[in-house]
Amino acid sequence: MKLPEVNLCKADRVVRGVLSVLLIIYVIFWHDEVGDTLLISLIWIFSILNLISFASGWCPVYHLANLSTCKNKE
Amino acid sequence: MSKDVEKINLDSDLRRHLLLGTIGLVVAVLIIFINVTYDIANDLGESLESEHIEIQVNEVAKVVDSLVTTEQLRQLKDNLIPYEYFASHHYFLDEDVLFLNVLLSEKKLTITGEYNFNEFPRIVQAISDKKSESGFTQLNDDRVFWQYKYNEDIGTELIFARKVHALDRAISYMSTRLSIGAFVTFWLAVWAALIISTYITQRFIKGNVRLNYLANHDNLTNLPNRTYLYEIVNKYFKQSKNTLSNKNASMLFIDLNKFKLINDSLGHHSGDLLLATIAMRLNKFVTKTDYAFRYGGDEFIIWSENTDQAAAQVLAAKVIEACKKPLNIQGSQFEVSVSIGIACYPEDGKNFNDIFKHADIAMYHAKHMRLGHQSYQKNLDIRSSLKVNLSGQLSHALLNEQFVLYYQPKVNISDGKTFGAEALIRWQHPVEGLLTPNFFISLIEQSDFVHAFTRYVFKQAIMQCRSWMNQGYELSVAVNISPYNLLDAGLVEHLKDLLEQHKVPASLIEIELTESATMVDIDVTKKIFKEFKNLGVKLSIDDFGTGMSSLSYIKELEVDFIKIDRSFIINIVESNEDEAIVMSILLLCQKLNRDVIIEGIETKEQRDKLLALGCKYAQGYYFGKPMLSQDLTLLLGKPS
Repeated sequence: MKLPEVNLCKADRVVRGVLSVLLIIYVIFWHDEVGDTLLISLIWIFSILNLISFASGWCPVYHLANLSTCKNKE
Repeated sequence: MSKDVEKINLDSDLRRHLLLGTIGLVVAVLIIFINVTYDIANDLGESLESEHIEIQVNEVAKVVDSLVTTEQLRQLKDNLIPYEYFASHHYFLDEDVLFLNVLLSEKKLTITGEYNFNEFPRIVQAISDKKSESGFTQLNDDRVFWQYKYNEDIGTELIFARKVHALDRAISYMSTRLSIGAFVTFWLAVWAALIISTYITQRFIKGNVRLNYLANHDNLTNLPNRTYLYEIVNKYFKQSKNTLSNKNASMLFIDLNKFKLINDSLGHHSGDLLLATIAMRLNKFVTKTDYAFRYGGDEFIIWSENTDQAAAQVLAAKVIEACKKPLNIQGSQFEVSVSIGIACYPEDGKNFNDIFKHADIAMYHAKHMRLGHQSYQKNLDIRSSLKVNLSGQLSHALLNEQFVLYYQPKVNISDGKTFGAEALIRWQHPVEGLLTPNFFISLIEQSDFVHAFTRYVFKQAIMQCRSWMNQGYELSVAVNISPYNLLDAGLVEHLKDLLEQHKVPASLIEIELTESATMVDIDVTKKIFKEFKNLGVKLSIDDFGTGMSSLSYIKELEVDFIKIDRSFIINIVESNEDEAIVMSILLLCQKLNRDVIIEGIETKEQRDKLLALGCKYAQGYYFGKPMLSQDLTLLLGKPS
């Protein structure tokens, strides 16, 4: 199976990585402040997806939207 | 290529608009919802708090009332109600309470807090109205709940104000959740906007590409159409001068020969199939730099970039070869020939219009001369471009009577006396000047005006006849007609009307038809000639001896004159063969009882020789060139 092409540039990946880590820390230590289970679950999903994107360099939404922040790609 | 660029621009523009639109909408919705949610939470908090405070105040009021009824308050010295009476309400009477006062018989007793409640105009109003009331008010930075409670039975008035924190709590409860919720919603909205904008853009582009294709392609042959041709060629010429300076390009204007005949005889469906097949063959020549287009009808164009004239000629030969291969259309085999005109950049033009016009002219020449392909040359232009221009001006010229008749005298050889004249048409063109028939006769014969034109000539000739009659000359006028006029069923009747209208005897009108034309369909010719004969007009066969007609035709057609072609006269003085031919024709006509007119006498020697051979009538430059009627009138001298 062909692996999807990388579609995130370095800056994009770093922003996603940092944001995910901050959100995970926040939701672990301050989850009472959020208080809402739905919101907490959504933050978890968002953070994990972004962590995967950070690690793989590939964003499924960019893929669906036919976008790329990768300069190598025309 | 430009289409792709346009597509990409359109793509990113549309996507940006959709994306910004969706995100903008989501932000607006979020702002409204946050605002409404915040207000609801605030109102709810305040309503609960006020309810709670009122209950507490009621409790305190009860205590105060019991103190009043038991008259315990009478012993007070400093208007201060001891706090211990309210010990059970200590959690309520905390530091947030601004004041809790009792008004009794115009005495102001204080439970806690000394405050000038004049800062609360609504409390002052309630005191003067003696009406229990409560509400929230803003005091500096604090939200404050106040209450005025009046007990009518014992006359006590309780005034109370307390800072409330419902708003702060609402903010602390809501702000975190609302901002996280807004963030998550925004993030979902961006995702959705990205995906939706891509989906809509792709749908839009797909539709647009299809529309573009339809606008730029011919649906019969699937070749690009003339719109695309303009675009491609104009784009080529829009390149910078430096880029173009080292480049060559060629346009091949391809026209199918006798396509109309196939279309008319086998039907339009077969014609369409033929065009589609030819288009497929032309499509094989398409490369990255060579484009094939259907220009319209049976006309195709190949635009070949980086091709000079020599290469274009090779390409043209290949195209002719490819088109020549037999076609099978609905069970019938065809061989289609094409005529190709070639015009090249830069030598034949530096813009679309010039290149196209010159390729068209070259094609016209190729077709006319049956050359297959022809490269444009300047000398083709003079005649062909003129012809192309003239063909569009025929009806206008006819309407404006730009066609004038010149008359060449026909004389008795012996005495040189003019007995008639041949009417020869000229086009007095406002721009090109006087044009001889070889510029326009073929155009007229191919046009719809051929009948109207001949009728016009007849009218002019008859009017001239009448004019000469009025001046005292009885001169016959010969009019040349085209073989196509033999198909004009109303011509004889029209001629009759004209003769009657102008009161010209039919015997003064002579109709000339070339030998080859008379032989197109001998039965039709015979029929028409008979009708003319019955009308009384004279008939003659022009250019006799060159049309390879059977002698039996001469026998069958009852003509009055036979005009011997000038080719036999040119060398009559020296050539025994020509002399023999002329003598034979003279003898033949004498036996058949036809008069002979010799054409093209230019010298005295020719005239003398023909007189010696026994010719009676002649015309030619020796006796007079074609001239305007007034000049001929002068030549005639005084009427006899």
